[in-house]
Amino acid sequence: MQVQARAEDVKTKWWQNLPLAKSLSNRDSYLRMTLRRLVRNKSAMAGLVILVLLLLSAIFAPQLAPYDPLKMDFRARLSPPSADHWFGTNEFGRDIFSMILYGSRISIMVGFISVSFALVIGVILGVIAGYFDKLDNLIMRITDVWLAFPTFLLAIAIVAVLGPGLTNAMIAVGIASTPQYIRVVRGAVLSVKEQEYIAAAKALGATNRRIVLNHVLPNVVAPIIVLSTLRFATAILSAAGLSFLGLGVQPPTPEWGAMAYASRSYIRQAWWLGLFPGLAILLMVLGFNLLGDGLRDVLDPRMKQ
Amino acid sequence: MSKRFAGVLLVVFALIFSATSLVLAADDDTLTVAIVRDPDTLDIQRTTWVDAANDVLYDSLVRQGPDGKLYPGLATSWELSEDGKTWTFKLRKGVKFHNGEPFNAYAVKATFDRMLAPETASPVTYMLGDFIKSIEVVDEYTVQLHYEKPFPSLVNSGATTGFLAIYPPKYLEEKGNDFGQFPIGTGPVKFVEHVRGSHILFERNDDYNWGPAYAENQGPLKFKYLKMRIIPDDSTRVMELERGNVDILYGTPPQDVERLKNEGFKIYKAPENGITYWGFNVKKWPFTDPRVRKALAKAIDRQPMIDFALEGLAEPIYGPLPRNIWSYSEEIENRAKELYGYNPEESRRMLNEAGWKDTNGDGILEKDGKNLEFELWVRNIPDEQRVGQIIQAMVAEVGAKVNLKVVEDAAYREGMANGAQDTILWAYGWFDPEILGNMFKTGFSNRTWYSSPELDALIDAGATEVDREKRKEIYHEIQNHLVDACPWVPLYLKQQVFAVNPKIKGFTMNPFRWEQLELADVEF
Amino acid sequence: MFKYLIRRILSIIPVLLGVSVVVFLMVHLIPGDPAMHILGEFASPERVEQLREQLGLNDPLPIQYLKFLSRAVQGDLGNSLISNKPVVQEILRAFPVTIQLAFYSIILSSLIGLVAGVIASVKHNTVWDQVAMITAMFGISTPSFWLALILMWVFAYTLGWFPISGYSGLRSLVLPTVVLAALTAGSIARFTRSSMLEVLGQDYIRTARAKGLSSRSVVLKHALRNAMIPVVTLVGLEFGSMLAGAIITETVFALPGIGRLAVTAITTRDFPMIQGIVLFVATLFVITNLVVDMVYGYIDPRIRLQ
Repeated sequence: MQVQARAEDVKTKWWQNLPLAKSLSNRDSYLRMTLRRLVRNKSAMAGLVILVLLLLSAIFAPQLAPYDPLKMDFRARLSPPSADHWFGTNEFGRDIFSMILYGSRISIMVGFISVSFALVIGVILGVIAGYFDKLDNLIMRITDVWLAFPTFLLAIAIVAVLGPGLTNAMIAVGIASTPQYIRVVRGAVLSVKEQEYIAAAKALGATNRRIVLNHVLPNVVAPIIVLSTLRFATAILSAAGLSFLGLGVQPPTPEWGAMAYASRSYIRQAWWLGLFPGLAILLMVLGFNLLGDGLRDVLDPRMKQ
Repeated sequence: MSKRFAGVLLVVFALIFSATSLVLAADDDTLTVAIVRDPDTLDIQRTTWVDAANDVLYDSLVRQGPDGKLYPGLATSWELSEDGKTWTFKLRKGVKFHNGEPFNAYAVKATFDRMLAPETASPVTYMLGDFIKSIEVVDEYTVQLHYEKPFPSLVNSGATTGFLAIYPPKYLEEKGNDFGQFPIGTGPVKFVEHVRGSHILFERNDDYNWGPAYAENQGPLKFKYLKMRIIPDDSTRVMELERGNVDILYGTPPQDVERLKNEGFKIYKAPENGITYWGFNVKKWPFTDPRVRKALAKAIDRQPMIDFALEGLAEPIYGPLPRNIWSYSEEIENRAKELYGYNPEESRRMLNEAGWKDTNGDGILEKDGKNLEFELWVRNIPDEQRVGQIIQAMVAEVGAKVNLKVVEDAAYREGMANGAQDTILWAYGWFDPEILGNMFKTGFSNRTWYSSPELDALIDAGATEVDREKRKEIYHEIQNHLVDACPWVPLYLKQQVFAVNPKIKGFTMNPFRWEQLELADVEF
Repeated sequence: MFKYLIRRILSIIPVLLGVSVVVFLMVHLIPGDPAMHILGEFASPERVEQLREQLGLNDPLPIQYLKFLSRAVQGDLGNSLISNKPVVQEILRAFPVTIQLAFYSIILSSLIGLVAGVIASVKHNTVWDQVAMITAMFGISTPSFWLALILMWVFAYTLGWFPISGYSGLRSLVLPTVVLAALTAGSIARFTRSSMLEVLGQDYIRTARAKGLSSRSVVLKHALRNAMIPVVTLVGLEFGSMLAGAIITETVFALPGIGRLAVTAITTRDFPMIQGIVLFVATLFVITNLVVDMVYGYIDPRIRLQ
């Protein structure tokens, strides 16, 4: 076997001996046990609380927001945080607090879509590579090329091809994070493939499709959940970074990265323009990282001690 | 890990770092100017953008002074023939290029011939005129430019810009298209180095033996080095001025001007030679209907844009030309203001009349089942994006929905050339009304796609008319035509602001040439 | 070992070929015609066509690719369409800034990360552990442009300790280094900790302890060495990606490095420049990986045998 010097491989080595779902009949009790451990995990719970709060604020933004986030009010222009405007107002007199509430919708969507994009393509290619020996080499070489591209530069180039905009930024971030899924899923599939019950299923004449769907995929779920949670955080950061370079969402969409970008012109007069969107990004990314971390602890049998 | 391995690493990095020598000894005798963009190249025949960074190395044939009048540059006098087809320039004597080559008529001819050669791929050959026939050396200090059609605007536009700077012929021949790597001119400073993304360094030309007639100093500059630092970020550029690391700030962000003034910096303002406008693509529905264009024009209030997006550093404009281009007419400006002044009720009424109704109550007007919804392209420039958002809010008041789209420069140009835009926020800047021809003549007009045989005829007449008064009248007709057709909404005339460290003396800003630095009398 | 090395080096070639094909195709998919960019908006269509011909942009794509490749193999990446300077020269000019930044950042983040990670693992489940891990978590969750703006505001503008922007020697690299290192130090710390915990839980460490070796010598001599293996991989990877240029950091601090060069090249449709940078950066990345593999084999001789 060739040594693969990639961080995600090292990180993912642990699930090569997952006991998970060795027998499908005790899946329920396994789930219950996992959930119990998850609830006891401080980091995961902290992350979960942050994310639930942000999710609620996204869902109920219209009810919670004191102002229409796009309404201009030149009289209240650039006012500092106050009782009227908790986080102050921007150069158009728009209420920053309301913008941030609405912005959480966009960040969640950005994360969700780019992660889903990477997930779908990554899982398909990863399973194919792991399960079908003939295609393995080809797909992994493609992945090598893919990985050799600097991620953020790749995203910028993709946006240059597709044109700036929210959707394109999400696709760009998704494409840039796909190879990691391929590697993780392939690794997990490889480790499952050699298990006896797969051989047994094969001997019983199960089709490839059936084996993949019923036996292989369930075993890939745990690492994917962990990876996706962590990639969610990265996706939000990258998308904010693209917006910060002016390549992400189009104005006046209240995306946090774009808000921070626009704040640069006023960094001297109005610190609140940049501070709060930055904090919001930090908070959401932190939430996903904490949750992802906790999930990893819980789903990783070797760490339970 | 073994020591051997560490040793190898050490050697590798030592090699890498020893190769780096970007740092320059900062000198007390250095004037530091912060500029916004890195010039593509200092070979200005091969760029579409000229500003202080690629202009200081060279001299133009003619200079436009702070009073708007024309002064001698490398040419001491100039004359247009009766038929308008020949320009004669008498050249300054005793001028040398930085490499010692003499400046004379042969240099002028070699320079312009090179500009016109297809291998040069110069984007600015139109500065010399599209119908140039030949460049003739009459004697060592006299040169003539011959045209197939009259070309009266040469001296007022091209010849005063850096674009028609004169290059040393021998060196040029030697270098060809590599000229820009180490450019040589006749200007008051010599090129030292250009570190992309960081700075351009120039050194005083000690042999410089003249100066613009309106300046006191008629000799070499009073400081040794000129360093132009490229700092694209607004807030960083301002901080560098405030910390004293920059002496002259090019492109002062509007929101910082007031504070800098209060902190004791000297502020110089001058209007740009052009306007920012909102352009419709008249080939695209619904802008094919002039009633829609005119109604939308009346939905725009320029004052909030100027006050809130540009911090007051602009003046509203309604007509096609700003007051600092010579065939400007107050009468036309007032007529345009009369026609397209802010009046949202009137705007709504006109849209209704043109068949636009809000039938489904969503606040957006419809006609034939289609919403009055379109894109507005803006560039990745903060103040343009702010203006775009204000336009968006204003037209929403009369029932139109604007979607802003930030488009990169290169894609913007290609998009306009293909007519992909709905509407654009764009600007022009020039010194002669001929710019209207460049923008609206059929075949050239890819910004609004406006086309009219009548206007084309006027444009041709204006470009070739030798008599200045008659020319002026033609340009008035052109302006009136544009006011009536309304392919665009002129918005404002921006001001360029320079903030200067109070220790710098003798700096002046040329209101007709904001992009040129007047350095002759600068000292500190 | 030697055979392994050769095999690894040879395996780079198809990857780089793949990268060159992809970047070439990508560059030609970007909307925006370089000829039009060079000639400006008032150029006639005929002149644009003429220049496209001159630049070889009208050749069929496979021909253009082969031309590009054959020159690239000889170390000639063509000339920038914008400045007309050789792409290689422009890249080599920008690279020192980027490599210094990457080098300092990786040193700083490794130091902080290793120390924090080791402390957290040795003092597992104590306040030390928690403080270290929470800090690390903030490190990896902070948007870099935001951190950059705050540091610039506090340390450069208000306190005046460092230059605000631009490249003017070591001092101007301090703040960008800190910004880059903050993120990486967080991941290294977390990684070191989990790797250490794993090793500390293993039998041979217990044996060593049982033999009466002092705690410090166990940690430093035995545990750390083994725990280092995955950490080295991570450090190598992070270094590799830093070499691609810290685009955002370089933009905020106006550093003339590879990242900014790349962004400018993309926005001006400087095709040869984009191709050159991506190829250069990808090569570096692949080579870094190779070196990491070698170091890996050095630390853990078992790998060589496989």
